[in-house]
Amino acid sequence: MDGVSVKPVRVVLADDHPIWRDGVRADLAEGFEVVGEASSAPEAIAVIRQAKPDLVVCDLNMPGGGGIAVVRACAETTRIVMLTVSEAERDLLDAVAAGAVGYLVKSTPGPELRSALVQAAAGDVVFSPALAALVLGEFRRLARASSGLQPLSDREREVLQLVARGHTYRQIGAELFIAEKTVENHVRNILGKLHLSRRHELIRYAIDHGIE
Amino acid sequence: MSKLRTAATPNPGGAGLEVSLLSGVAAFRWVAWAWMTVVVAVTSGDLARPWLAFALAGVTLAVTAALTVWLRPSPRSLLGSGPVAAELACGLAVVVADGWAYKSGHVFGPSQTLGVVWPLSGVLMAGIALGPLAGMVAGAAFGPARLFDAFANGVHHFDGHRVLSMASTALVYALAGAIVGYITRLLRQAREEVAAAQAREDVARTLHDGVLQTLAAIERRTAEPEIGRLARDQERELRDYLFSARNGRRRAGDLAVALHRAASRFESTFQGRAELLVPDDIPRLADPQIQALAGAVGEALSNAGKHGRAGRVTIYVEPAASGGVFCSVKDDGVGFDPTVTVEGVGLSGSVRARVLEAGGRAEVHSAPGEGTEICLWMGSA
Repeated sequence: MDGVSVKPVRVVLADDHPIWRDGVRADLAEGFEVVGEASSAPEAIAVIRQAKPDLVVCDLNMPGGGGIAVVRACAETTRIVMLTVSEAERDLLDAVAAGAVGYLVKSTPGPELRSALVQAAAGDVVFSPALAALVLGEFRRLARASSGLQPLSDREREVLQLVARGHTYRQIGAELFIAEKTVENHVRNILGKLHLSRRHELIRYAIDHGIE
Repeated sequence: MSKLRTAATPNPGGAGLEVSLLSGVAAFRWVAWAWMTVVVAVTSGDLARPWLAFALAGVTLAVTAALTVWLRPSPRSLLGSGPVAAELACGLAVVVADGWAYKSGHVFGPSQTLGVVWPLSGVLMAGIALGPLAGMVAGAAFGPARLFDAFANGVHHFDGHRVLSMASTALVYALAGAIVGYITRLLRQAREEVAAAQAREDVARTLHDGVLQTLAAIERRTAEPEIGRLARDQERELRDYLFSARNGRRRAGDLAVALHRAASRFESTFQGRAELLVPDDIPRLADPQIQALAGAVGEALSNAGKHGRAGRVTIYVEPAASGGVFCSVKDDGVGFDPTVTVEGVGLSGSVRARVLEAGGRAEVHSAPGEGTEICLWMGSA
């Protein structure tokens, strides 16, 4: 991402640990402008609606409904990246399925964090190997539940598996003889399918259980 | 989750189970008492001393009511040996007195006697409160009680049928007491296991939310490399602990644990980062296969650290299309050109040999500057 515009990325930080907000703010000294901070989900939703940032960096575990509440309320209009201490959380997939554009582990080193956030602000999905692995597992689960929902195409599965195995988009492009941009498009489509599948599943669940 | 949550006490003294069991016995007493009144009414023509029958019904009613009322304020006190012994004595007395209430010969007659069902509650209580052995002994005591019942009824001659009848009472009551005691013990054990699991989960969550966060913050913000390394080591150890504390519920447990150990070893030996991705839905492997796979991954990792000078490794596992397990180890190291480089001894010798021996296969992909990836397949073809 060498062509970053001079205009800094406007960010809202939501985390109930002030020490974390301080740390991330320090990491985002250049190229970013922190336009708001929040320490709970309701507060974050209010700050986001008021500040209209380019990007939200949001802790998964927060009082008042957690990061997922923020995603549900704001993901339609704002790009949200989740922060989490570890990947072993079901909520994480829920947050991404609900519309977050990706997530980062809190111990991610500063430079890596910055480049991922720049990428996210530019409209890309932050798709780490761990997230790819989670999504692959989710699609296997959906396939077993034979929900008849859009499965992944062979190519999408291939791309997703390579991401999970730790290949970069550039490497994947080279291996599959496709452009790096095409790889990104596949990843975006996969996330779109995940959002759709989750919504279908919720509706099916509601119908099956007689919930209005 | 901002504050460390005090691990919720799993309530080891929780009386929920006891209250349910005692409520069950209380209901049993009422039904048994109602049955007694029905028997008294139907067999009234056979009573030698009706007043005694009414007195027994009155006493058992009083005991039934008292134990029901008592249950609410202090269920635990009902489990003491005192109340249990008292109820048991009361039941035995009812069985013996029963013989005196009826005309001679009734107790071995074709009809019911009043003291058959209600005394069983004392046996159930002995089983619940004092265990299966106590329940069995309490039940067996009703054999002799029926003998005295017969004496009180004026019966002094015992043929095979009568002995059998008394023995069967003793056997059935003893079995009931033992089984109730045994089931209660199982239920208590299950409750304790659940409580222990909850306590572990609470501790894990507290550590996870609080301590792990703090360590990660220190690691990222400190300017001192030594402090950062310390925080990183502690974080890794804590993750290991949390992982093994939680993996009991994972089907993939064994393989995941073995791979986790290999990843930890790589991190502490080479100061790199190893990301381990193991889903819950991978098929179970036999122990030798797990060992071979984990051993091969360990070799691949040390190869990545030593020769590849890798800083970051991704270990990915998924169910293979062929039915077994697929595992890849990808590093961001210097890589090599497979067409000119003879594969390192570590790679061909250890990685390939290990998986081949256990019925798996391995592929090595690498290019200069692109890192190295080792793909492993293990399990049914």
